Amino acid sequence: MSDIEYKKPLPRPTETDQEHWEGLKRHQVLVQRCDDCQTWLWYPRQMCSNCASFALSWTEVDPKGTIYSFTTQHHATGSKFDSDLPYSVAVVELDAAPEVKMVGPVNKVAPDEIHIGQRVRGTFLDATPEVTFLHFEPFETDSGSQR
Amino acid sequence: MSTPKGDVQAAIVGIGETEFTKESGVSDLRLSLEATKAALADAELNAHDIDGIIIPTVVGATTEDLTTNLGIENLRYHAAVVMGGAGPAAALRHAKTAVENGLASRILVCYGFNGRSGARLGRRGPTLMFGEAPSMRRNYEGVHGLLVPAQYYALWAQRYMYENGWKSTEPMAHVAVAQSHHAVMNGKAVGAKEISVEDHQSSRMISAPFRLYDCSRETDGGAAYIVAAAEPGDRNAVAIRGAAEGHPGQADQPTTRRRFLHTGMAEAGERAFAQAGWKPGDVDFAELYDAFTFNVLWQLELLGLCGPGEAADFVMAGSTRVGGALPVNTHGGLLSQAHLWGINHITEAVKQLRGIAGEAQVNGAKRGLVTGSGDFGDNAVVLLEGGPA
Repeated sequence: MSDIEYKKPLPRPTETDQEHWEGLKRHQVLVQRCDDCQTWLWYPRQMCSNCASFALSWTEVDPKGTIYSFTTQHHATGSKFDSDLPYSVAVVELDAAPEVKMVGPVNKVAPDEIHIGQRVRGTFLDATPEVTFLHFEPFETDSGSQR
Repeated sequence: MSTPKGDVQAAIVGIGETEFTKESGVSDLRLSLEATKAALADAELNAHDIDGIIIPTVVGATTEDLTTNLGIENLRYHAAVVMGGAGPAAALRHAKTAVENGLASRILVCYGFNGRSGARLGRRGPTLMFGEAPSMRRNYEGVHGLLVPAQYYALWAQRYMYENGWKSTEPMAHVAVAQSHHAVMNGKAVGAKEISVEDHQSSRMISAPFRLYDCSRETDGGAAYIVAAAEPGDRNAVAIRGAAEGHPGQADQPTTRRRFLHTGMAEAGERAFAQAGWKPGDVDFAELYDAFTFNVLWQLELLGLCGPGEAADFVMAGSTRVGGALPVNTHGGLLSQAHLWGINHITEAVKQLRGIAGEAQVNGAKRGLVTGSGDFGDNAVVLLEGGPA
């Protein structure tokens, strides 16, 4: 953990998504899955939107996936992120749960190199003793080619 | 098919606009009241005639502010539409329903907001007030720097470009160029100037793939309209023939949608056309909600105004210019006239249908289409017809 104080916005977990943040603290990515129909659900919610079951279980997934879409921010928004400009945020489809699209920053990639279809893996940023974030970065597959 | 219950046909009977500026120097409420005063004068009504109010956005004046200032003593219908930029168009649907079913006889819809000198959309998060969506947006998007509307629409645009095999953003440039031309013809936007494709392509990057000229013009201003039963022979009344809304699943969670490019706009269009008994080819012009250039291209396809995958060629051929096959955003739109959450699309459509749209008047404009899009998952489509009822 950096000894520099983390100054960007922190999450405010609710009853609905507290478990996800507990998992990230342990460097585990937990996603809800319906016990009755096995549908993966994201964002966190109270009820299965496929079969109306309340029986949802937090299930660990490997945070590897593929960039589905992205945007690179160049314009200052008056936020704490202005010091990072330009930065890229992507929508990532997870291999382990293809119905799940997760948003995260993509680090270690130039604005003109990030692209749809790019393979990324999760990394963990321990921002405070209470909060860990899931980020992404590109990685080479074993064959060195895109999926 | 377009004859409503009891033979009452709701129409827009009055419109009003303030000046559109970068710094109004007055309050949001004052802008709302100035626009309302102009709409009342246009409709030849006074404030005491208003018995219904629909608040079309989550900014500006409340019903209570309006009744107090306007001296409305006999309000019998009030509603608020929380659909972001879709509100002003969706409010027409509620006003039509209320008037045609006798819930109110004259309904005011007004908007006033210092969108440039006050809280700018490019510098703050979306305004959602209750439910779990604000927490989820903060916890999974805001904490990662996904903050402003340009970024959300950029995610859609990037995916659309990928799926349609675009090599560049030139089609978006052509939208910006056409609308800058319309804004100059319209003359209402302060400092409107015509831009070129090159100006667009060399403008600074905002939220890739969007450049400066892909983004709308944050503006201080207000506009209002009044809906009432069309009186026979009233040449100023513009009939509301169709009005519908559409929403995707996971409406407040665009990044996680299973059908990423599904917004509900296509369904809203189908419903509106069915209600009016029209086909997409029947409209003479369209005022499409254009927070960003991409939205115009996307909607042309979703509404069947051109074929799937054909929007780029359609726009680059000049079809959306005044004088083209389907003039779009004849006032310059949100991009080049003013971002007023789309209420200026409605006032412009009324002007076109009355034949008073000035230099950018579409010859023989009889039928127009207006859309609204907001909150990343709320859409509305309205079909308007001019001429005596």
